[in-house]
Amino acid sequence: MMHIRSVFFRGFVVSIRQWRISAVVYFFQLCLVLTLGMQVYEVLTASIGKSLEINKLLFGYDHTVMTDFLKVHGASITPLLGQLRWLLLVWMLFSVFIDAGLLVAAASPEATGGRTFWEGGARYFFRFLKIRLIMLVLVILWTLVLLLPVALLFQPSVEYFSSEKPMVWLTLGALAVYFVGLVMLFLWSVVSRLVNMKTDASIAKSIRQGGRIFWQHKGRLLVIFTGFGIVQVLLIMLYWTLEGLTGMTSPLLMLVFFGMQQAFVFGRILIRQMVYVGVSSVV
Amino acid sequence: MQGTFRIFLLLYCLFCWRASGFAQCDPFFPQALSPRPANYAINLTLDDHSHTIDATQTIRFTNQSPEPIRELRLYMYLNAFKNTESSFLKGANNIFGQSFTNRTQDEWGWINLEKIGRAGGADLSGKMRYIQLDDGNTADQSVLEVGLDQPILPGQTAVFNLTWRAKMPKTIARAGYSKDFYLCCHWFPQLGVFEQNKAGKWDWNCHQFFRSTEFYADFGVYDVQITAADQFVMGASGCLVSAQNNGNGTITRKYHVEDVIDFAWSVYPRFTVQEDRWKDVQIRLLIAPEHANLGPRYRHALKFALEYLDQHVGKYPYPSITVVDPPLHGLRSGLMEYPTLVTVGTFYGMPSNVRLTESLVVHEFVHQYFMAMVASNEKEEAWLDEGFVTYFEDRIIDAAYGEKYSVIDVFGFHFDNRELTRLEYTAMANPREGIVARPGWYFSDTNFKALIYSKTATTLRTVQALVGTEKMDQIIKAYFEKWKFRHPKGADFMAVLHDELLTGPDTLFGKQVYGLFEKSIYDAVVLDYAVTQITNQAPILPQGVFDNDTVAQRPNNSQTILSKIELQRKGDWVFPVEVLVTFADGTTQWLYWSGEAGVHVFEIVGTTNVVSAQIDPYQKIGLDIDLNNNSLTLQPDPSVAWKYAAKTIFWIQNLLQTLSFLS
Repeated sequence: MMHIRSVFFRGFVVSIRQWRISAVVYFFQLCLVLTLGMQVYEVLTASIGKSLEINKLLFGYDHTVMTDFLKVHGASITPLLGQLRWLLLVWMLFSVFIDAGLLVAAASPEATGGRTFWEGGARYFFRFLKIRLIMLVLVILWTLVLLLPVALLFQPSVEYFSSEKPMVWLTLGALAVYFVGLVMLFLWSVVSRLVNMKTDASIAKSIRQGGRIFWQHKGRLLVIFTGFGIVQVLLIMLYWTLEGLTGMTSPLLMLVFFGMQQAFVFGRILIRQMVYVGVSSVV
Repeated sequence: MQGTFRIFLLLYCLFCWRASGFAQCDPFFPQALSPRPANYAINLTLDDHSHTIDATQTIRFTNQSPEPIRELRLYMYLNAFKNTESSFLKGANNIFGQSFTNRTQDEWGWINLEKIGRAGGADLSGKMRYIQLDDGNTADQSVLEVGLDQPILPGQTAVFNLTWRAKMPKTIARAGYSKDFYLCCHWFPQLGVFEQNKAGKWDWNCHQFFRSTEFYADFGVYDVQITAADQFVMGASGCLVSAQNNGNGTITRKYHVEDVIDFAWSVYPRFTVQEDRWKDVQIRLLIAPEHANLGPRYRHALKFALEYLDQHVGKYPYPSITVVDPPLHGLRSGLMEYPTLVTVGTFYGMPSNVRLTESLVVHEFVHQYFMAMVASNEKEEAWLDEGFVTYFEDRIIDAAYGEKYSVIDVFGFHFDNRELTRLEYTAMANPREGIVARPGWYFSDTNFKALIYSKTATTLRTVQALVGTEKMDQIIKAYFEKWKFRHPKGADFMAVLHDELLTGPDTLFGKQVYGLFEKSIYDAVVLDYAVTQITNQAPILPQGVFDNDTVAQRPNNSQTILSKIELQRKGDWVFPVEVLVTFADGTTQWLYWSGEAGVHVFEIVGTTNVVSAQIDPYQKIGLDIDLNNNSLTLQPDPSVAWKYAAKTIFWIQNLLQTLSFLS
């Protein structure tokens, strides 16, 4: 069995080697999101773009400017929110294809070109869609089982206990358990898809077998996920710190920060690929 | 000799100890601060099993009017919570999100005056009747009229003895119990105010209790003796003057307070007590133990408010202020003001960069000035207290914690109290919904706060910005000094404002500011000015055939530029505005517009293009409902739009990445 350090190292090396695949995913996602981002630009310039007040937003948030804008021009933001909902739905579908491509590439470390990605995505799309739908049902069930009672019991518990303190900690505990559960479901889903890829078994069998394998290696898999997760958290903290220090207050800084933002997003895609390579190495 | 000395020393120490215990809060003023027409002595016992209060009460009332008084009118507020047919509850599905559908018999509240008689005179119990002069709802029992056997003559003092029983409700609108927490407010039979009405006739001002009205009573001295289980920690208006353990599981505590218009008290076995001082004022914070670590935040805000109001309004004369922080299950008792006692509210783990805890305690404390001392009629003219209090809450919180960041400062999202107040008004679906200066019962649940609190406070803030903080403080101080321990009407404040604004050298400006205030409070109009267009072009010179047969030619190389700046009055509120014009070479010019016409075009002939124009550039007029349209530039900077577009792209990308983990 591969040492966990080697797993991390392998994940890092393979995903860096497969950077072109991550770049394809990044550009695809960017194109989708640009449709919304550019509209935000247009709405802002068309509504308050010629007001001197908008300049106050250059140096940070200004509640008066923002709320006066939303009050008068809120109707022009509403369609963008509607569009965001549709974008999320479309992304959920596309991400099945993308994940399939990424997983096939992760399981074939020697592949570095886009061909493996596109072929993998096309070949496993419908199978992985089924697995994803089943897992989505499990996510919904997990949410209902854990969070619904907490939500329903919160108000009565405030009346029952003398203090809200126990309920606050109970809620925080429940949220922690909930997120751990989500991570486990995600890893189970990844392992099931890998099993399906490697064995061509039926969906039900892949999920059952995936569950067994996940349970066997749960410690290592959780460590992989957590390790790469920590890297992401550190990256976002670094970004916030830098933004807090200077802010996007001039065209040059805006360009620099836009580059950093996009590098961060690209980094997240790379890390996702690292997780897949890591999981693939373990199972 | 030494033995005698020791005894004297012991007695001296005991005296000092006792004196220090109670002298920290000395409730007795050397001379009365108010006219004290209505004085109360109440002796009560709280039964915390049945949630009932049994009391005897003495009212010592002096008729300070020139007319004889032939009947008494008493508030019986607790009867508003007797059933859903009271004027307070009628038509309401819930109060503060609390439904009444599952309320048990034990959870309703009422008060029953069993006996009333004149000291040394007749029993008046047979002359009691509930009256409903405001809405004619005969099911409402919130005002009781008691006929008198003999009138109380002008200058005469009459004493009445009452015996009554009350059942505290499960908390509705602050009053009542929640488990073992009690807030006893508007809990006893209390006289209305005998005063001249608008028609000039002397009469009782004693309105029924409605959801959107608060309280109005007269000044006096209160001696309240409360017997309750010894497990309770107690807080009350005024000072504790004695406490006696009765040996039967109860303690009797006696409180005294002078020159106040009401008395409230609270008990809860789990209260922790934090004490502090500001100059001679004892600060007593009764706080739920799970919130105890927030105590320093409450105390810091309170002491800052005491200092600020002392400097900008006037002296806080009372010896104490008690702050009650209820447990979360009793939060419906929170956020309310009574003389020398306020209730607040918070939540376990409230982050230090969310300063609702501080703004609430400051708001309720400022009521000690505008409600408790300047005792305006909260039922008929709520703007006189809530509006002034919100205005000072804004000033104090922003001064204490910084403009733009004072209320919330979380991950770059921040705003201050003043912004929040202005937004409450300007974000109304229809800011023309109604005038501010009208009785509370004419307001709906949705527009009450926006108009009474926020529009008034924003108006005062606008006046301050126009006349300057120093002049504003002078106005407020003049009003406070003239009307403290009295009952001013809206017209009385307007008179002070008129005197202060129209006595200076610039009476025209004073008249304009006075007019703005009057319009804001007594009218329902909207203020909105905009710069709508700027053009720069070569001026059209005379050309063509004239009588003297000369032909004027347009010079080809003219350096003259005609700039036109179009301003619009989009609202129906007329107020003169100043406009700052900036030219391409960086120079500026001020323009002044009366603001009367719907559209006004300024024409400037010069050699440089106008690049921007800004109405009210220092944003003095916070009442303008859209400040973004106050300016226009011909050289817009697209940076901000790019910045927010980039941020939007970034966060949606991250959202999509995170969503991929869901399955």
